Amino acid sequence: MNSVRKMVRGVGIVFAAIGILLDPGAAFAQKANDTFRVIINEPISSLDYYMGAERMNIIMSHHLYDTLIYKHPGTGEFVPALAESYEVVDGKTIEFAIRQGVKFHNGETMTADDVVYTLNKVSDPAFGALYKIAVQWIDRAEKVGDWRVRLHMKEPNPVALEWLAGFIPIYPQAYYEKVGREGMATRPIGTGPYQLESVDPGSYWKLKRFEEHFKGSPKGNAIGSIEFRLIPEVNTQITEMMVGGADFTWGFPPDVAKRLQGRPGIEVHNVPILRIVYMLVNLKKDSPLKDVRVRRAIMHAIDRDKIMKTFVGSGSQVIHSPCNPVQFGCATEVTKYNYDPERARALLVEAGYKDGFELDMLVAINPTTSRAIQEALIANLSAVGIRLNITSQHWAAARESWIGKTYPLMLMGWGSWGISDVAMMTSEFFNGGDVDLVDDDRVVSLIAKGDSEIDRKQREQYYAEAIGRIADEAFFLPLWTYNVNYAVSKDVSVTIQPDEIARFFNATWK
Amino acid sequence: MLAYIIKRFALALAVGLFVSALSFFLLYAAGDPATAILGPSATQVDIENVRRMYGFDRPVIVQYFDWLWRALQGNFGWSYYLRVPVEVVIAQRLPTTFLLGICAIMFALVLAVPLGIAAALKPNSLIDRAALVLSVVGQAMPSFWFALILISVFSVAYPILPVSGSATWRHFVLPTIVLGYYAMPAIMRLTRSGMIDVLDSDYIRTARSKGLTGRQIVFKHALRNAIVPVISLAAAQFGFMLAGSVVVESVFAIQGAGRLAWESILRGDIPTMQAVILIFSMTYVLLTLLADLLNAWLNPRMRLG
Repeated sequence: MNSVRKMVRGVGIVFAAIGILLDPGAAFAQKANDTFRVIINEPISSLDYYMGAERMNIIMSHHLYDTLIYKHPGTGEFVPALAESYEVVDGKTIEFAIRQGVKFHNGETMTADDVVYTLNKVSDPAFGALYKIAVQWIDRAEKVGDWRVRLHMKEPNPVALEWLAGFIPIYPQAYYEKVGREGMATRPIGTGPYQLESVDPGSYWKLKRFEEHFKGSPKGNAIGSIEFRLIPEVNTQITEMMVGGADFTWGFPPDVAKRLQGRPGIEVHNVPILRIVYMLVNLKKDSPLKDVRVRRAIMHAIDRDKIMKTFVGSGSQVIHSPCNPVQFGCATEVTKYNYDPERARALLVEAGYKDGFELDMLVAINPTTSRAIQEALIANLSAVGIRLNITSQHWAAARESWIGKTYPLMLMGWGSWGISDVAMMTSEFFNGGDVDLVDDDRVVSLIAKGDSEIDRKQREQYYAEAIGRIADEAFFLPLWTYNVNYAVSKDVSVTIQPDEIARFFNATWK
Repeated sequence: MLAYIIKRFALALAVGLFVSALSFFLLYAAGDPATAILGPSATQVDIENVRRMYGFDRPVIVQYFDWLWRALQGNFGWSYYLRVPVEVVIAQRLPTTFLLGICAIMFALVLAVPLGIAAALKPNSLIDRAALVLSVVGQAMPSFWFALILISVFSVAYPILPVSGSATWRHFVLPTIVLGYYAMPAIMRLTRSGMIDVLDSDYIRTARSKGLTGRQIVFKHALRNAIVPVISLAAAQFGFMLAGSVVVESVFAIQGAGRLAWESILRGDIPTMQAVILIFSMTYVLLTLLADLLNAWLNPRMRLG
């Protein structure tokens, strides 16, 4: 036995020696090279921010570009960025004092003309910004002084500052006019703390510190370079972390987080995020769900606390409202449906479903709606007589089914764009539009008032009343908030915020 | 022979076009490409905007012929998702997949043909049984799982090879083994059965009676005939490797064309998907054509047919 062990150990030493000879740099952290190596699990589609459509595009844009104002991730306050200050003139007008001396990556100086150009250009329907919602509220921008810009809105927009702080980066007019959309996608120029060094479209992106990034910026750039490498497979991601081939990865499930815990050189964190998981009720289709007692029975039948703790992770919480409790306007003092299968059975009997019934449910395939969660829901509902027939579809098809009102029940997740306001959550589902499957007049009216009111207290009241009614009538079956796991090398200090916008520019070496 | 080649080439083109048309319509059946491009955060307004911008609001048949017309002029368009010309991204990804496929098929042939010959020379012997076990395991083991095992051993326990990427030759070692091992059993079993049949034939008995050495009989007379179906199979396997490399490319984070095809389907990136499918299908058909020509060269009787 000893001789076998010796042999195995000997083989190990020989292999390790070969490894070091073949790749002497592999064993050392990239701190020495001042390069922060980030693994991402979905690609960055376009470096032309307005033509991208993924969260990674938003994250990349925060590194390459700057916005007029910046939302401090810790305090939630809007602080100056490319604008030194701003003044809300009235409900539909904001005036900005543009910061002087800001350089673009190509050495040109940013002016008020660049700001006016960007705001007018991207809000023009002919420009075709991929996410129109982020810019369609802008009426026009005008220069009212050498360094002053006035922004006019079409209607009062209570989340205007959110859009301006995170989703409307300023482009260099001269450069964009010269290279156009295609040039910006491959050789982006912004004022951000990092500039593009190299790119392999769809798989690898390397940024380097922009040495002339403006003084007084709320963003940092302490680390010299940041590498983004796409690795879609979660086991490969964590293996790279384990062998020191990467400094950061995220978005892996709880069981993987447990495997990584305690590994030398790695810290594993979990952070609750704005994303919530829910079941959407379709009252436009004939089904037992038209009876409020059945909807309430479903809520009583699901042991949300147990399912969440088992399959989602400790960073989440059970919710009772159609929004994340940390979002502005998310009323939490609402009707609560605790786990009570007996009550669920009684409600079904009362509704005339003594023998239960079959119910079709559509699942939008996503990490938040895993197979394990589906099975747990099937088991819970089956225990009270509701037999779920599940159809899983990728998002594109699921969205069509949603709008087509094909299924009476849908299991989904929603991230609110990382904006902590129910206007980006509850309003999306109850605004009387194509995706509103309830169309309750009272709720639609309250949501419309909340979405156009500037006074925060008044907004809160409108939303609270709407959310209260949604919960009473069980128009929406909320399950839990979601969370994200991330692993980071012990050499690096970086924090992920609930908005899922990773601010790697704030990372520092320890 | 020239007429035969032209006819086969035209057939290849027809197959490629048929496959591209089929995939185009299947993509639409799978869901709205505008929604796939935008992802879950999009509002209905955003989706309508993209539909108009990309012309998805036109009839599907019009969109297909529009794509086909441009493709025939060598213009595959811009990737909806990556925002670069499709030719550029394919030129970056395709060589990696081809390189991996060539390495894997070489690995499979080098391992499978000698094993098949050895097993055929001594049927039901220990080496035959060992070869059988090797082929059954290779066929049954999911490549995904095998890849993770190799990473655990050669990248974690004994770190001599990198976990992922495609920057150096070392990055290709483990993916080659995984992809090649999956193709190996079929080649080995076919070599074995072919060799057993040939070794039992009259002309081999004649060769033996003439006093030729074992080596001469096996390599000069038996293998040349037994290898004919193996060549066709190897060509087909290579085609499968190109299209089926998506799992291996995902596990080892290799930026190849297999993964590009998969990602473009998921994200409704029609120009990229169409170009990749056309290239893959054409490659597959051309490989089959080359295999037929090679077989005709090796076996004069096939030329007559």
